[in-house]
Amino acid sequence: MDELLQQVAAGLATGSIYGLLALALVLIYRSTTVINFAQGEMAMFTTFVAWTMLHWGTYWLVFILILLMAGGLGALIERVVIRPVEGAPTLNVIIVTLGLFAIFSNVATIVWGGQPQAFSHYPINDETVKLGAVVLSVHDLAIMLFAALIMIGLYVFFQYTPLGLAMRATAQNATASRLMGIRVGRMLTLGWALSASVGAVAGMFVAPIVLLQPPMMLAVLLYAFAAAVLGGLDSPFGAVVGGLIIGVTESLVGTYTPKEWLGPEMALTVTVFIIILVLVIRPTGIFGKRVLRRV
Amino acid sequence: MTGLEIRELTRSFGGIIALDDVSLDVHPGEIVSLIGPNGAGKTTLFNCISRIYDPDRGSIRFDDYDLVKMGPDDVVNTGIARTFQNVELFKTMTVIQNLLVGQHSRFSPPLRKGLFWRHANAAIHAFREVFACAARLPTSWREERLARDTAEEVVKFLGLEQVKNIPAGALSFGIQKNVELARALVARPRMILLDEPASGLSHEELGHLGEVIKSVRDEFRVTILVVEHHMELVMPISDRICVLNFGRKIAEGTPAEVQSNPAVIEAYLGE
Repeated sequence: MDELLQQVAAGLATGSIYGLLALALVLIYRSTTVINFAQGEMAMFTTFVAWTMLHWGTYWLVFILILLMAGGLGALIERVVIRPVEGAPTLNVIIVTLGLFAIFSNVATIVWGGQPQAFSHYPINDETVKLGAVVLSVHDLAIMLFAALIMIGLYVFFQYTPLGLAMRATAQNATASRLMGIRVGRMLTLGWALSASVGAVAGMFVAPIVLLQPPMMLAVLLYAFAAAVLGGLDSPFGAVVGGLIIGVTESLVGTYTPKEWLGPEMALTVTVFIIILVLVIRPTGIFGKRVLRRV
Repeated sequence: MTGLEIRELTRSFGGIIALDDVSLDVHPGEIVSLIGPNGAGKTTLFNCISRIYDPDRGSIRFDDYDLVKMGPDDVVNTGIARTFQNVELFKTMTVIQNLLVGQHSRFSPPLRKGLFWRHANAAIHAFREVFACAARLPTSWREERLARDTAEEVVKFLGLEQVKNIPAGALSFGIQKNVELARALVARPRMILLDEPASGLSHEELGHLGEVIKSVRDEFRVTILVVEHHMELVMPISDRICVLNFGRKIAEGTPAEVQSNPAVIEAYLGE
């Protein structure tokens, strides 16, 4: 029983990371119906920039600067690369994001090399905290705390601020929003900026766990994608819940699958199976509202 | 204050001419109705004014603004708001939230003529918007307060108090139409375009609509241009009526004049 609780808690911690990256995917998807396949690689890239900056600055200063820079990067990508294909079929935009995936992955390899790097100067240590029967590392607790803060922050932003309402309005009905005087293009840019910032946080928390290297976000992106599909691609709340469910599933399947049945490797298979199952049975996900567009 | 001036407006789709050389004036404070059989070009005219469509030829001026040169997101800044035949609300947002979004233009930078100033202004405003939102500056507090007050005021005026915290998509079609009218009003426009306000309403709701439209004109001092089929609604409220048929204006005048116009009678009754 304790073992089970322990695995669930660990799953919630990794699930928070999946939830964050899924949230980043959803922020872009719900206003443009495009899956940004470069989401993980953008996060990896900004985390590498952070790693370089950590040679000069303290961790939390770098953390804040990276969030701002990631926002700038997201805005720049939207303006320069995505805007020109805005009216094009969804498939074209998706192919553009696949191109971005390749660019970020290759540029990172050229600049920082392919070797895994320790994400040094990370101020949160490996000490553990005992909560009842469950033992969690400070790192895991920090992840959950940050994920919760970001989600609450975004909820307040989208629910109570005029700018957040304008962004939601744009996502729901662009034509009507224009007639309200909302600069729809500016809202889309802001959506990409926000999404890149949220993704950057995910990257900053993945790096200390898996070592910093160009392919580090590949599996995370897959789990995040599963989380977003499960929760509903247009629901930020669903993305988070989906992330937690996927995280716990991964943890439990990884622990309790017998060795002769792939062992921990089974988690990835089960995740892909969940994606397929959701798309077949309930394409809108648990909290999604619109019918999923075939892409 | 010259009101709306439409001159020789033409728009075709493929080979079909939806609007053919239409001219129309709407003076400040008037209620003008645009009537005509299905496919006469009424909604096309609205969509040209809203800048959803580009006219092929002709001009649309409102007060001192040349609307043809503007994008759809500028139109509300000139003082024109509109509703839609099939309701284009933000369905997952509550009524109040819809009315807050409807006031987006009130806190945008004023329109300026020069291209440089418009871009400079937009950049400053975009920065201020993000910054004020992040820092919750006093100005953004004050604007939000003002926006909420306006929303509450219009909610009260249109009798929407009971439903104000319900997501718009969950309301009946008739109430949604009312919410859309509210969303147009909170922008404090000088002119409102109503696209078939009566369609889809129950008999009961229809009975009140004429009074509502008149009181909106009087209380909010707006000019109103209505597209409508229901003659029982149009006749008592209109100062003037403009009749379109196959994209051309076939008659214009007071309700009595239009009713006795042979061309109108033929368009409605003849083949």
